[in-house]
Amino acid sequence: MMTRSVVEYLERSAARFPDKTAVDDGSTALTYRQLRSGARRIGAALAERVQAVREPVAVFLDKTAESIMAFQGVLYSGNFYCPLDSEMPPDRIRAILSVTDPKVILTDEAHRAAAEQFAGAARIETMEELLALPEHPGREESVDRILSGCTETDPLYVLFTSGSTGVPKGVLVSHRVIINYAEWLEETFSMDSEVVIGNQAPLYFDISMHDTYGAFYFGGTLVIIPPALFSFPARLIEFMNEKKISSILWVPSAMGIFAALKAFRSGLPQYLQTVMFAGEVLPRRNLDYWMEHLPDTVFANLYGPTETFVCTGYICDGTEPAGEPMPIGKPIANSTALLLTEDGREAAPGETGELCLRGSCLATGYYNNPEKTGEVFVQNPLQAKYPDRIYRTGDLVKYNEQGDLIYLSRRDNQIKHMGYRIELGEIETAGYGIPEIRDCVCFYDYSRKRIVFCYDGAEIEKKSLRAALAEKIPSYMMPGRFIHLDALPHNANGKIDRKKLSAEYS
Amino acid sequence: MREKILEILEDLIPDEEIEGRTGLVEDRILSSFTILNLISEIYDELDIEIPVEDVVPENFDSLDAIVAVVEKYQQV
Repeated sequence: MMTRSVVEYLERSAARFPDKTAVDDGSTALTYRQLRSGARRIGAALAERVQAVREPVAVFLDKTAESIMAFQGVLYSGNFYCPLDSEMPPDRIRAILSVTDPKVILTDEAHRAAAEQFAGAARIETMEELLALPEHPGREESVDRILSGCTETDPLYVLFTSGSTGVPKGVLVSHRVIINYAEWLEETFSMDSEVVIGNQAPLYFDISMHDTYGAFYFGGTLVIIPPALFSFPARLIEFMNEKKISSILWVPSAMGIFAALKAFRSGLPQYLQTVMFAGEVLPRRNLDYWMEHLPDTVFANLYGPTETFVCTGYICDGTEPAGEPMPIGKPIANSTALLLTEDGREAAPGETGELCLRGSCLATGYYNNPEKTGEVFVQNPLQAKYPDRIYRTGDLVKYNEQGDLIYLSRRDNQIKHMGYRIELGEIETAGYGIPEIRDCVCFYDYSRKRIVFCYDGAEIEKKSLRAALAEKIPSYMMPGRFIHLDALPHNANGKIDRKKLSAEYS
Repeated sequence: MREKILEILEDLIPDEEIEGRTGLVEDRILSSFTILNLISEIYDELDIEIPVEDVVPENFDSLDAIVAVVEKYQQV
């Protein structure tokens, strides 16, 4: 039977391996039986409160096993989740909530007070309260009835990306995208119920969907690695061995830390069979370091903006020419790539074009934002005879001689910093909200891997400037350097000369 | 040595009072990227390499701890 909802993965694995650990965050571990039963209770209780299906439920928790239960609970209620994190700045949470306008914010007692600050009209429910509700007959049946009404095109989650105008965009992704991906994962990699996936990404970052649903699809274990361990690779390796982590999908900056500190001198993650990376370009010397030390491990480069989840993949075979970027490979199952040139043609072999995707990998669109949706989810310009939806990534790519895609650059001012996709415009918009600042502009210093913020107007003490920006932007967007100038330079078009500043101050 | 390390730290985390405080790791004053940058600056500026075995929270939790681990690997 066809899969209609990713909840079926949890149901199936709970039936096969009830006493196996489903999720372990380093301090709390839940078996499949515990996770399923808790999530069903949450789901039934939420369903009674939301009284609707296919509605957003915001989840405001720390990065823990409890969050995973909360997300699954939302799905059992027939709704979809919007992960918030207690580390996000309040203004960002408010902006996300104003776009999603959820009826319910699901949190726990520890975060209730914080959640109340942004709740607005939303009702606050806590995990403790929902789990403590007395059993009543018909509750199990009500969850089953809800699940039987789901279809694969129902929304699964809404995740927020940086928006250039300062308003974050909520990417709405359906069950189908993840179902299609999980099936591709099984066809492409030799994973089975023994898999132990070590999560690095925040739960509001879509890479974590691979970790969660990859583990549940196979009936393996999801291990949420405590974030602090990423500063201390020797301790991290010990943790990975203790938990027998066999598969990871990390951002390259997390992998780069191992290479920079020559971490494998202290020991090897001996259970690792698959290492995948995605989210930004992985420098070859860092990958070479990993490949040298783990010769029997499979390495794969995955690619995909939030709007397509993972949509291409490449298994590294060690024959890739040094000094060239690692290919991003070929589209995953049920997805195709189209390379469009600036004049709207399909790029010739070897020619650069904007990567556009079509097929099952496509997100539904931006939540509550038809205008932005219409800008990038567009009709295939090469197909005039019937509706054929494509997503324009804004990434410039080309094919190499082997027919694999090579990522070249961004078309606009979007950068990747520590795996996060950031529109520099969003930081600039936050800067323009500070009264002392006349003009401001950001650029990315690729050599020192930091965002540089240049401004004119009155000079502001660095501490107050950071504090003012922190009200608007998350910490990963915080510039690493601030430069005050008497006047920002302008180019011939009258625009602030970002290039000149970047050349001068990088 | 202590002066130099303080200078590097102040450059990396300009808005934090470092002298005399502990909990740099626990309070997440030093992020994973900052620790990495600190180690590479120490290598560039002082030519001292801290091996990964000593890149552990205890050795980065205060200026005193950082100075102690750097001195441990200083060439005599």
